[in-house]
Amino acid sequence: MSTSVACWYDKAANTTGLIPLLVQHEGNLNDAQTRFLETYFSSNNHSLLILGEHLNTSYPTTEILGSPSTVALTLAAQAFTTAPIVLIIPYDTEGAYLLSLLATPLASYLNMPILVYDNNDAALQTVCTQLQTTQAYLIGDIALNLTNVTVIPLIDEEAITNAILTVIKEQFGAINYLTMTNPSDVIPPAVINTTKIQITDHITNKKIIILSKEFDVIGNDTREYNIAIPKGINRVHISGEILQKERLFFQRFSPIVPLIFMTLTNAQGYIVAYANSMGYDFGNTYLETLTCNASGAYTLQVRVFNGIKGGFFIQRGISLFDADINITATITALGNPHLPLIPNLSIIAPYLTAAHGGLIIANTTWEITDASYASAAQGSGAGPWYNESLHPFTNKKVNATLQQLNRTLDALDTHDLLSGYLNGPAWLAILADTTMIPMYYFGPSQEDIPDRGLPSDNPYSLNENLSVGRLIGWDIQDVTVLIARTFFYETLCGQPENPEDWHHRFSFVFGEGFGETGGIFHQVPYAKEIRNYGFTSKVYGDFQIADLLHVYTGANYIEYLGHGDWFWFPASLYGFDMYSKAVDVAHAKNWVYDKPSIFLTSACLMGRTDGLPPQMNIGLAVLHAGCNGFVGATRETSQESGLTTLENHLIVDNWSLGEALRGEKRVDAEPPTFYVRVLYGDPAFNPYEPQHGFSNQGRPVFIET
Amino acid sequence: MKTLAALFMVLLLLLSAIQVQSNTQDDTIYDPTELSYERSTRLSIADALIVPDNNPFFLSHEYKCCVLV
Repeated sequence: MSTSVACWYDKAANTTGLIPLLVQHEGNLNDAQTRFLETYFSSNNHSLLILGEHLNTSYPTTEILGSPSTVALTLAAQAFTTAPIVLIIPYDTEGAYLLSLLATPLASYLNMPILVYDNNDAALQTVCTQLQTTQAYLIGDIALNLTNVTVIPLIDEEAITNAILTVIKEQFGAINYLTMTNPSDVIPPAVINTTKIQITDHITNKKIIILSKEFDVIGNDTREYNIAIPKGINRVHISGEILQKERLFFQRFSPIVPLIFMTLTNAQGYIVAYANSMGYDFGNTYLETLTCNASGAYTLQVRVFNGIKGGFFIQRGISLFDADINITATITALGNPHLPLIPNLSIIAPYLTAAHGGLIIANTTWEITDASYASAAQGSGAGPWYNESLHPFTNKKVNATLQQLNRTLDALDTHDLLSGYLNGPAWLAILADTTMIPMYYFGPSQEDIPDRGLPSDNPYSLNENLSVGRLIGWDIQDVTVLIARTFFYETLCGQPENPEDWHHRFSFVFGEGFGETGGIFHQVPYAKEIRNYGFTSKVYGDFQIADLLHVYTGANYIEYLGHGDWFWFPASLYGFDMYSKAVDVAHAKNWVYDKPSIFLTSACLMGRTDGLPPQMNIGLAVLHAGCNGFVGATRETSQESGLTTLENHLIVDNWSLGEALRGEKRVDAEPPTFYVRVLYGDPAFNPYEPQHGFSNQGRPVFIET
Repeated sequence: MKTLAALFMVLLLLLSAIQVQSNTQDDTIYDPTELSYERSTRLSIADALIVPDNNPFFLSHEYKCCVLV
């Protein structure tokens, strides 16, 4: 109901309106949202409209609280003085949320308030009379009569889609944006009960590493614990924490932090989850998995390290560990396997889509973990990310999603919109995590890692015809501010003032361990070449002070080429310590991007999000810190993973991120990069380039009549 | 004359019946190509909107089923 107040089109007056729409959590905005508002608002006298739940903020606010139908009525009466047409959505009927999601952009396109039907005929009549309403689009199979109002029923998905495409054709003459989302992501897990197991232990270990071999001088660094997993469907969450003693004064200045690594294997010895503290927080991490009638004695292996380790070819190092550790296993019995990794993303779909002049495609059956998963994953302690036998099941889900996508393209064709869509940027946003709308698992699996298959968003591009981007983040809060940073990018960046400022900066970083060849043969010449396009470029190879120099946060474009994994990129490998010099989630999550950069990587696994808590992926950590786009790989890559084609599309052709990735895949189909390279961010996001300036970020324009 | 007046009354009754009927949902014939572009008039009431993540607007059928299960 907030969408048409935040985004609207007034064709008669040839005007449009768009204001930021953010999602709060328990009465608070997160740091990134607060920073966004501070930058976006030039002063403190800007006001916020708060719907549904009180917000703690220093800004002037107008709060509309109460039941959904009451909030909608009050909002309509406050935001509109007249409304010849209104959109009425259902509240408590079968499929209400799905139909409402699909229909909501119509309210933006026709500049009308959204009302909620909840057996409140009289209240609706009062507001319609006040707003001088003569027509009402009524969503769903609802019987409603309003005096002096002609009701236009849109009973099902087909009717809604046809109405929206008709309006888009008339208003904009073209469609460039489709959003796929899964309404089931608002449904929480069906919890039956929860069991906790607490383990406290003490580890003392003194170790040296010489010639890549580890020698324990005192104790050892590893413990194993049995975790009994019961029958049924269980969400298993195991946290591990190092209880650090108070650090001595001089230790507080040391970059060395104690590390904890955890691996959970099933009774047959197969990995079902692994994690480490570099992927989460200092001395603290957790792992999660979903088991489906896969009971038995699982083994949790816990390993610790506190020291230095370096040398790429011949490793050397030392670890001195003496601390307590706490392990907490929380086993939650579920009534069904449904388990979103990033809940509630679908609620922002109408705003995202309306602001792009697009159409929503949604289905509750797309998720991996629907009811059928229980039998498909019978006896499995992990999802397709560690269990290859689940790839056919997952891929079948993707294929069913593609069928619906193709049916939507047929609908576009019926409205004479398909040719324009396919010949344009053809953006397709996937607003869902990899469980709610899964990636396709290509083969073969890579042998040296436990992560199975080559998960890919490629199939959704329909043979590189559509420009795909997956809009995800740590949570819905991060995703809404990512969307806000995309639409209000120019305001946040400001106008460039000199050739040295942020807008023109392109930082290249290459890592050690064969990243040097990419640095010498790609980054150095390419950095020189793009100066012809107005960039101020620098290539960095030494990582020791890169963070202090703001190499990763101080440029418009950032490219990293080197080694990586889903929780870090260890660029410095030759020196005394790769751990303290690496960039991991535990550190990067605290970075702050003053302006929204894009982060492009030519490295292994930094884009892996399948089966992971989103807070543990390094790509999503830089989005959390304020980047607007991340390009990475879901699995290992090799020398084929260059970024020149993609970057040329951005810089020379002035293409959006989604188009640039599509353009690269059209000319370079060499595996595995072709399959595993993904974009996290809005595919329509188009960063500033000195030659082309700012873009309109995929906003629609009215057709000339 | 009386016959004409009676016929006129019948005609009026018929017309009003048709009008009432046309206001009911079932008989509304919607042609999506005939869109109304009558303008809404708005008030500027905020510079940004904030909504909660607990989705109170759609504690709907699906959610309730799930919780009940």
